[in-house]
Amino acid sequence: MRQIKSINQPFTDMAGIFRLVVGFTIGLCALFSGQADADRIREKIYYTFDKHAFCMRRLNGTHEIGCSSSPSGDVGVLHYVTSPEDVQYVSRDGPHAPYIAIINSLDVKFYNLNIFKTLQDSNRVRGVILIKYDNESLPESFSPDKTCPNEGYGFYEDSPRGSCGGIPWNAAGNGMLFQRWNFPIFMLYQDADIDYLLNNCTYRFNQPKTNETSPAWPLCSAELKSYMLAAADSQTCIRRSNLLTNLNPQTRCDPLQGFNVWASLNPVNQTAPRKANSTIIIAARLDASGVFDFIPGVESSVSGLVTLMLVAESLAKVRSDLTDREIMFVLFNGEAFDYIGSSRLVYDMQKGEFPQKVDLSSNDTVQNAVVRLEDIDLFIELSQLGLVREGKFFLHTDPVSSADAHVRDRVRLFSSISGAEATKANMTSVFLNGTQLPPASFQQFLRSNVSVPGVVITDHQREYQNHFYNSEFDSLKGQMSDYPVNMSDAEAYNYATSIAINAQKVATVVARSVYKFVTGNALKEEANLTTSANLMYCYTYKSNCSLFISYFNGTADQYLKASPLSLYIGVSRGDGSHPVTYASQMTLGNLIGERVNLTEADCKAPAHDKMNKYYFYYNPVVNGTRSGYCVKTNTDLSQAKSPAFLLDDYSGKYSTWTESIWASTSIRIFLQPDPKQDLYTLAFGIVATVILTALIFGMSRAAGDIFLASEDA
Amino acid sequence: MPRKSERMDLSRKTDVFKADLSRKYFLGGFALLPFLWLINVVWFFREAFCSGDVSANAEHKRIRGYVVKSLVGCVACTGALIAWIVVFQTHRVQWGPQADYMSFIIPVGIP
Repeated sequence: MRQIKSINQPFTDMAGIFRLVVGFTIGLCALFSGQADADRIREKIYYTFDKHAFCMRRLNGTHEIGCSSSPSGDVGVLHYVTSPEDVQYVSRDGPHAPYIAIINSLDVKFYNLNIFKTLQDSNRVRGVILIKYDNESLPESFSPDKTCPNEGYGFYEDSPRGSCGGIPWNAAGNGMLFQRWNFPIFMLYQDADIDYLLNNCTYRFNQPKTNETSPAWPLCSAELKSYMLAAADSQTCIRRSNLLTNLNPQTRCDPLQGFNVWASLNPVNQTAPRKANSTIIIAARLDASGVFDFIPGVESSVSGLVTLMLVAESLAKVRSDLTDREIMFVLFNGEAFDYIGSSRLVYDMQKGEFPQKVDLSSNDTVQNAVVRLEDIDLFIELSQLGLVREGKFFLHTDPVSSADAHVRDRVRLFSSISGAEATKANMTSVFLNGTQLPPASFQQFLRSNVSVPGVVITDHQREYQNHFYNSEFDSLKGQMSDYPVNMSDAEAYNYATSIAINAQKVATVVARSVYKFVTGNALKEEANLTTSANLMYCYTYKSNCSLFISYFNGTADQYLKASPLSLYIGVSRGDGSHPVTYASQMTLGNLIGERVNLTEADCKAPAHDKMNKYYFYYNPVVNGTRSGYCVKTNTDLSQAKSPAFLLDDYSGKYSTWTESIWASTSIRIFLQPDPKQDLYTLAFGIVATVILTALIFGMSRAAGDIFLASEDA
Repeated sequence: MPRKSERMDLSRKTDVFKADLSRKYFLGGFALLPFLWLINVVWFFREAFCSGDVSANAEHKRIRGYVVKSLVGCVACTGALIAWIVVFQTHRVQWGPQADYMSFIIPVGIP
């Protein structure tokens, strides 16, 4: 726990001015005696909260969203908003405007779009501090994403019923994430900080004394600083970042970008002729989003991602039966921001560069054959799947592409197999073919080639089961899937939460269905529940699990903490992938790969092989030595940077999201004296300067009378 | 009186020299250097207007002519510059990329 200091009260009355003068004199003395310490005064005035989250600015082709403070920070008197009267007080009646509102983020009566708009429109609020207690219960629902996520970038933009077909898929969505706020928003999430903010400052100084209606100065105030350098829109900030004639070249924003993870069972070498309709793609989402940078995304994306990994594990065990098809597993990154990863992958496919461009001029005889949109026999997207109710999951299919007989046949075949397999596993697979698809990566494939057969598998028929889609509350606790209290980490690692169980059940049906779809025979194996439990533990609870640690050569501590990894795609400088992308790549690599007997030094692809990757997995250190094993796998990354930035096309065909650069962020509180005090201090300074100048001028003129002239002058 | 720098001391030069110098400054201003006109005005203001009966001295008359013309040029340029600055600052955002390409320093954090 942080050591708590008390706040000194600077200059609050005439005695304060006297103290100022005395302090100044003492300060000068200290300065000349060489013992001044400038930090000390600042520390005495301000109390800084180091652990904070803040709302940043993002831009797209036409808009800016999110928050920024003014360049030197915004200052306001703190007021804890806990009732509608408090909203009135800060936005209309309070005499000490401007205010900074403190709002409990777990109380959606106040943490919502309307209240924030009221505060913004009043022009009396300079910022909001959200507080998030650790142990308080979460709200019933809260999603800062739109009711129709990724609206405007899907397959149905021209449809008369709109992007989402009239269905409010994300019914809880309030769209706060996509609002532009003209004040900074910070979040404090450490209980000790919140306690200090409220009890040691706000309550102590900002409550009216008995018999008075409003509190008297000095008041507890805060200064929020998060100045964002980007403005207007992505095109503008990228242009300004790159202008060569600019005298002070300054990067203002970076495109949201990262990497997709793909893995291939039974890959096809580019020298062998690829058979028509030979590829089955099984896809899920890797990223999620939220207002702040804690993005657990348990149901929003991890549920589908873990299901995909379980399917991969099951099918890898029977790979020799599946040689008829290449089965690709793809995790799309940046899907929360208008389908960054999937739009790029489709773009790469159309250019003949997915997985990689075939390089015939090199000596690499073993290279992956390119996958084209026409090669896709079936696209299976595993969307939100953690909240399956009564064993019922839904196969969403697209009504537009079903007009094509081939597409209709493939989709019908898979759904009938899936229906039969679900029944065998005591589940229900509901085939939906009349309504539009929910927001899904698959829409990007349809947009470019309407004859790709595909299904989107979810746990919801219409509105999401998930009440926390893309929010900071999409955690194990939010989804009622927490570990039992007092369970040790070792037990929890193998404990299957309800989400882990659901993922395993759906994975079983999907894996068996794919097997039957390809071979015509039945698969007996179930998906591995232990793997499901382990992966859920690593992705949603503690990322410093033994599984993830094995991907790092002793450097795990830098990336893995006793908390989930953030699923925000973020920006990428240099070539490295984010920890969650790397962990997913290594996990998938291990699940579909084959162990080979090679030492760490030899664990690399032989000459002329550009197809297979060799990953090394580390065992825990025993007696000072770190052993491990080598896996040969066909797993790699592909760029998840929107084609908009390659084509310089900001028209809205592709995602154009960028994130602003900021100089620094800080949140600190202090006791603010009466603004009249500023005037007194200024007047005192001017008077003192005039008097002292006159005095010195007089002394200088009368110097001959005051001082003895020295002999040799 | 403080001692003047000898090099800058115009009082030692002939009126013809001064008139020629003033002319050079005046002509130089046309090379998009309105500041030269301002210097011309400041430097020769006294010769042109405060040295008694100017009409008696042809060179002083010439100087006055150059000073007046320089003053007009200087005011016109200043006016044009101010007008441009006002137009640019009020229309910078609206002009979009063109305004950025014209700028050497672009402010951060605002459109």
